[in-house]
Amino acid sequence: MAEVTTTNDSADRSSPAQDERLAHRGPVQQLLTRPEIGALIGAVGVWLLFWLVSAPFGTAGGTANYLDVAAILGLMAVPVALLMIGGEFDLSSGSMTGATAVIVILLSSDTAELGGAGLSLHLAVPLSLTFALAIGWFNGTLVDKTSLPSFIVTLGTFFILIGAKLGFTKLFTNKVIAEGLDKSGGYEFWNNIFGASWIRNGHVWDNRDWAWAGLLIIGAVVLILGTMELAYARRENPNMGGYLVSAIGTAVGAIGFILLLDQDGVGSNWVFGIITGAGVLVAVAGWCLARYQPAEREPAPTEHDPRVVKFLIAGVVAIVGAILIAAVMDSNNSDRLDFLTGTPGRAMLAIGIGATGVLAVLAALGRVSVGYPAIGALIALVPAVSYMITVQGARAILFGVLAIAGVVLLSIAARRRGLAELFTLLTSVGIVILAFFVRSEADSRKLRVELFTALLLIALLLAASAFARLIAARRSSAPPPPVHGPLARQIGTVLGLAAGLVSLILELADSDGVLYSIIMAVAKGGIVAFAVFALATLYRTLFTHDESVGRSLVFVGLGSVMLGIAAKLMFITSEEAAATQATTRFGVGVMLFLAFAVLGAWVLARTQFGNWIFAVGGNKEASRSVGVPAARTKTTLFMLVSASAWITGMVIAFRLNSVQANVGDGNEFRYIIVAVVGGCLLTGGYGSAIGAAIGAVIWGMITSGIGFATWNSDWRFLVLGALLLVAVLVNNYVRSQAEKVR
Amino acid sequence: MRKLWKLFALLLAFTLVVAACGNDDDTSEPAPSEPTEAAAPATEAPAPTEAVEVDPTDGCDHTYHVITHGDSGTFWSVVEVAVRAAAAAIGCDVVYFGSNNDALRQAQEIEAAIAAGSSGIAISLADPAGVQSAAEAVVAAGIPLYTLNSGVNNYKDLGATTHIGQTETVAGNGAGERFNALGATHVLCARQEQTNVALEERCNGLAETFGGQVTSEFVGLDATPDEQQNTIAAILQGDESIDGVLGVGPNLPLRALAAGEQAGRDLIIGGFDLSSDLIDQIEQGNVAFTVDQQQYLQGYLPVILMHLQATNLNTAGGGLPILTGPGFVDTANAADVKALVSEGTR
Repeated sequence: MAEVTTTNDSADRSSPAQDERLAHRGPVQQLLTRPEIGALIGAVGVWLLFWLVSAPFGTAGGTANYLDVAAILGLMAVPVALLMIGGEFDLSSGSMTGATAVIVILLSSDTAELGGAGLSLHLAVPLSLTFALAIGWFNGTLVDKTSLPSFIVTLGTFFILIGAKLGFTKLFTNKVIAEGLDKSGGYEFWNNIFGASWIRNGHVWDNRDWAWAGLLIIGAVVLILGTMELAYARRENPNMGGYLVSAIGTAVGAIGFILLLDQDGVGSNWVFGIITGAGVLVAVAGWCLARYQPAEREPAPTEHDPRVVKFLIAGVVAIVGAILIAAVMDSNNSDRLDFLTGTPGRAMLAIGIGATGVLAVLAALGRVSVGYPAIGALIALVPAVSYMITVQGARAILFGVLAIAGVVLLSIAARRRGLAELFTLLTSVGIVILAFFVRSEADSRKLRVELFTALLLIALLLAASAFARLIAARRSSAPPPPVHGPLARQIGTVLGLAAGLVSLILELADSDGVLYSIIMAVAKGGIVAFAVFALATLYRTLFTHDESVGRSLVFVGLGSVMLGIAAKLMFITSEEAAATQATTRFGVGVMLFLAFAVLGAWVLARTQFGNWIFAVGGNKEASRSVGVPAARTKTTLFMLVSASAWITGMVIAFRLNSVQANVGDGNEFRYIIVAVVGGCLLTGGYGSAIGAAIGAVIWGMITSGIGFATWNSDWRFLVLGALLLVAVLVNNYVRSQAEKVR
Repeated sequence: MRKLWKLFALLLAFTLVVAACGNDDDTSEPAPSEPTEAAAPATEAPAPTEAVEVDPTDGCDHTYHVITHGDSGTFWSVVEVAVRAAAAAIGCDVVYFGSNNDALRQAQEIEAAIAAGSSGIAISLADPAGVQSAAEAVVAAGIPLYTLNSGVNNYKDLGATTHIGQTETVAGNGAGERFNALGATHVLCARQEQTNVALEERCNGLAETFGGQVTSEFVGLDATPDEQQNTIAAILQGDESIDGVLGVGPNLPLRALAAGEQAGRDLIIGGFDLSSDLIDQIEQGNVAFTVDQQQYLQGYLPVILMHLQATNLNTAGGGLPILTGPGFVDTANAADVKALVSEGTR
């Protein structure tokens, strides 16, 4: 709605921009129409939930724990997502993971003692890969030649694999477990590859927190600059005075921040905190004045929108409800809420179930809106959920949900009245108040320090964005494609490759395992290339009038935030090392999982093959008639899935050393579920690889999180189901809203 | 290109077949009968049922039937081996059938056994209601009926001579006493299935005799071993007071061992049933013990008892069940049991 503003720059082009196909969408709106947005919001929500209710969840050990579950799932979910986008399913993918593991052990383990074929692993491992590829090829070819649904074909392979796994295992070993991988020839070599892991306890780096904080702050700043660059229209000539103001603001903010970290008194914290915040706001304002065209006020909408009042009332009710909950419920009561065992709870359960049924019937008859049965279901769920959480936990969750809902509702109302900026400023003030409220009443360090800081930062960001929107004019057309990018990219690539090669040679000399060395080399080369690219982007931002720099800035910002998090997760300080006995390790599976997610996203977004995947998934015949090799694309996808199943199988086999014949059976549905949570459509032609990876992380967080929170595992699938449903619904709603506005 | 792939696949299939056949010759010698049917179920069903005709011999005019709800897992394959050994010992035909938790199939097979003129039928009662009418028909036909493994609460009502098995609660009790002796204070009873009565009973039995606190949780399926390990680690880190883990299956103790390392905790670990890796860890002292219900007895004894009843009119048990466990495997006997496990009889 706000995209069509008149600016000097594009005044003569403004009439074609009215066409919705040409309309430029702002960065936030582009993000909201991504397929993985629901999963992303869901992941943040689930992380926050478990971070609040359990102490170890947010630590590096907790992260390693759920990433490990996510990795075994995600290694498959990413290729399965590609296959689903290509319009097919592979139901044999789950049992395939176990099959490759079983095959390797049966082929390699000792003949006399364990009942295997006694081959060297140097032969058995490649053989199992060829087996996997052959099955993938078989699936793909059969689906293509017969035009049968892949659902049926791979169901056949699924049963065959399950039966063959069991049959051969029992035939060879007389048991259902294939055992004794470590007694096979060549075990050392292959275990170095598939059993390798990064052991955090062995990597001490005492200045880690400086790197972490530095990268995070730099990343956040660059991300904000990039978003502004994407959102606002550049001036013809920069206003140097604005840059000066911005520099002064930055200096003041930085000094304030350093003093804030240095001093420890409560009084001085106040002063330096305010100085830091003011400095940041001044810096943002100066930057906007310097670079962007001045904003023109949009006239407030004159026609009366009846929904504004609705949103306003709902928002106020939610906020009041949140405040009431915070005031009424006991913040120090860690007993279970438990409505279930008392009469009121049971009555509530009965009423809820009854109401759901009655309202559902009424909704089916068209008497009430379809939303009403959900209210009944909510009433029925309250007693069940209350059994799981403590009073203080319920208070935090209810408060959080109501407050966020209230703010979102009010902001919608404000936007429709043209008061978005004012409202954002008010919200940031509200969040500051909330932060001090949390600080005054919470007793754990996590809430008092970490949540407090996070809330203040969010408030600062909101205020800064409102400032920027008041000062700068929005873009009316998409930024041009990058001009200087390729050169920086080439330099970065060359330097990165060089660094990678040097690292590879050094690592191989240490002989920690081939794959491990390669991953480390890629990582180091990547960091060097990234640094070169970041410097080039900095140059482009400050010294050129290149309008395409926004995307590069966003990329650099996200990258350095990721690097910061990685530093925190992968390195331990000697202080921490002394305090813990736990061993935190990131296996090769986790590294491959992350690599898969990035590769999958790159293939989909940047390569011809990615376009082919979308094309054959959207409409196979149409794609074929425009020259896409549909059969080859689909067969390649099937083989990709089984090759990933082989990698997963190897990771499992070398971790467990003995594999039960049913390992992996039934997981194919998890892969599909996770891909759908990540935004893939069951009909094909639409979806995201990153989304599937995020979906896998959500699954990992939920299964591990329930353990960390010491919740009763009986409710595990209830929690899982509810959260999955919420993720998909949010996905649907947000996307439909965002696309409507365009 | 495509031809090349086909050639490749063919080559691979050939290699596999050669490997399979070559191996068959090497390993099948110690087994008394050739288990060639084991590969056949590959084409049937996800977890196939199977019927094994054991060693037809002359000189015995009795045929016995052992019809269980068992699948083809580690546990039931030992029962099957025992049935086969007992058949060889008495020199009669014994038909073993595992219905893989399908009560209808089990009932049909029982009725088929009656029609075939069986001299004795042993069944497991995982789903007593499902096979009740078939079991009553056995007694009505005047054929001796025995129950094995599950069914300790129902065998009398059905008119079975006796029950050969272990009660899960008694096994759990035994584990609880072990944990008391080992000095644990808070034991996590980790389950690999969420709604399995037998596993719940093991945990309840543990809670009955164990002096400290018991937390019973489902930690993930055997099909997702990585999830099991990480969930146990998460529970350990969520509750610092847990110092013991009882895994109510043969895989979970191994997962608990890895989880203990991950969480940096020194745990007293107990398990249920046997596997080579588990016994290795017991031998090395990393796992304290495992509860063994000695299912070999559950396959061997019914055949012998049925034969004695058919030929000598003996009825064992005296109206009470014959318990086959709990037996324990710990550091003291791990080495001896290990040899037996690899022979498939423990």
